[in-house]
Amino acid sequence: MAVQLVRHPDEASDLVQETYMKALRVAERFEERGGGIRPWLFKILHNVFYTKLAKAKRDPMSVDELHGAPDDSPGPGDPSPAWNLQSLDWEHVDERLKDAIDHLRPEYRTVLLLWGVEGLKYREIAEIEDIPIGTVMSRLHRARSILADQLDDLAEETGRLGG
Amino acid sequence: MYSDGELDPEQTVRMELELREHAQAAGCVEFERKLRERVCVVMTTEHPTAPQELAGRIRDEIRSVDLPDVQAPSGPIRHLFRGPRHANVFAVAASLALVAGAVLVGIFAPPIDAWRAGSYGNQTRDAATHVAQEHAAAASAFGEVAASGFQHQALQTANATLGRPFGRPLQIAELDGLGYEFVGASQCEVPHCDSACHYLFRRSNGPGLVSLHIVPDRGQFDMTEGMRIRSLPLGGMILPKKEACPMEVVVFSDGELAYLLVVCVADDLPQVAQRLQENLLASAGSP
Repeated sequence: MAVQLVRHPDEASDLVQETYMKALRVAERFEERGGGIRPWLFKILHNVFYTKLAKAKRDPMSVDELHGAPDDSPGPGDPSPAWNLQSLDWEHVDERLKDAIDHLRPEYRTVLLLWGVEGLKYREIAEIEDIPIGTVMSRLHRARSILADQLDDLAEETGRLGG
Repeated sequence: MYSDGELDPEQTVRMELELREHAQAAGCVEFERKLRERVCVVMTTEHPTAPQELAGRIRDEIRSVDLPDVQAPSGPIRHLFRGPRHANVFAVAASLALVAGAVLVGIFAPPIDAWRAGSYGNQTRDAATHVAQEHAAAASAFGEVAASGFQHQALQTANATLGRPFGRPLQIAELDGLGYEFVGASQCEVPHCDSACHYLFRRSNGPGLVSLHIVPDRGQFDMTEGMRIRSLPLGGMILPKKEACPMEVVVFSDGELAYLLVVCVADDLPQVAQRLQENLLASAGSP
């Protein structure tokens, strides 16, 4: 998760280290809520990252971009993308998918990571990100829609090339 | 929400009935399932593990910090602080280093809660009883086990992701050739084990489940507790049903990981165990 947030391995290591140190200092505040310690650590990591980002106003995403970037992804009321990609060859989508994920806004990428890799539930993601569950669902929907659009393009290109 | 496992059991059943009637909606669900699988593979392949030196750096920094006196916190983290009331610096450092190591490989183990001693008061039987009871509970749900209740519904993804706490991908074989289809896999808890995961398979024709729990082999299981199996490539033992342990449990190890296997249909047990062990051996021999 740290790498996905800061997009740099050395900075990710620093972020993880800071997270553990902070966790150690506030250990008495931990309360078990049925999900174990992992969501709590993710929350600390998330807070450490966004605090540093706000202070440093660094690339790749400024605070203004982070909170106010225009959102051109499909919204809940927009027509759904072509989910039924029957012609899609799932064995050869990884490069396009990786590229699409790299270009996602950080808040979409974070939710995608917590959902797709860590297998967390909406409630857990909402607590980590300190956002409402509805926002989690919305961001996840948008992230998946963007990825589906990319795969739709890939399927079309593949069809045109006859591959 | 259905494909994310966010519906309650009643809603899940209703949704599954609806999906049987609507092929397009079922196609959407299948798409989301595959998308999740590929997202997981892409995002874990790019950065599978943390750098080796990071754990050392964190341990060093923990040792160098003056820790405040703290009350032993509530919840599972209390078990990381072995002192009765105040955090012993070395114990905290060692404990947090253990935590760091687990999280750094990606997936942190479920909380190490205060395990009550099982009916047998020994680690082998406690673990076997736990997995047998879980299996029996799943089997009693009229065989209707929802894949959406698992973290992973694709075997390849499960093997890649659930192996992270163990420091290597898992090598759990498909059982399609034996008439069992993969249902799902998730992290779980097993007594006396600091991390664990659970794979579930079900018979393609008729009732019957296969449960496989995987835990680190730290020598916590007494392999003389049960009947030794000589005919399998990796050997193992069978713990017979006993009191609170409702099913036979086969336990074997590949030297690093221990596997606890429960199979509803007794006649299928030898072939299932053979298939799993052969795959482990074949994978160990692969570069």
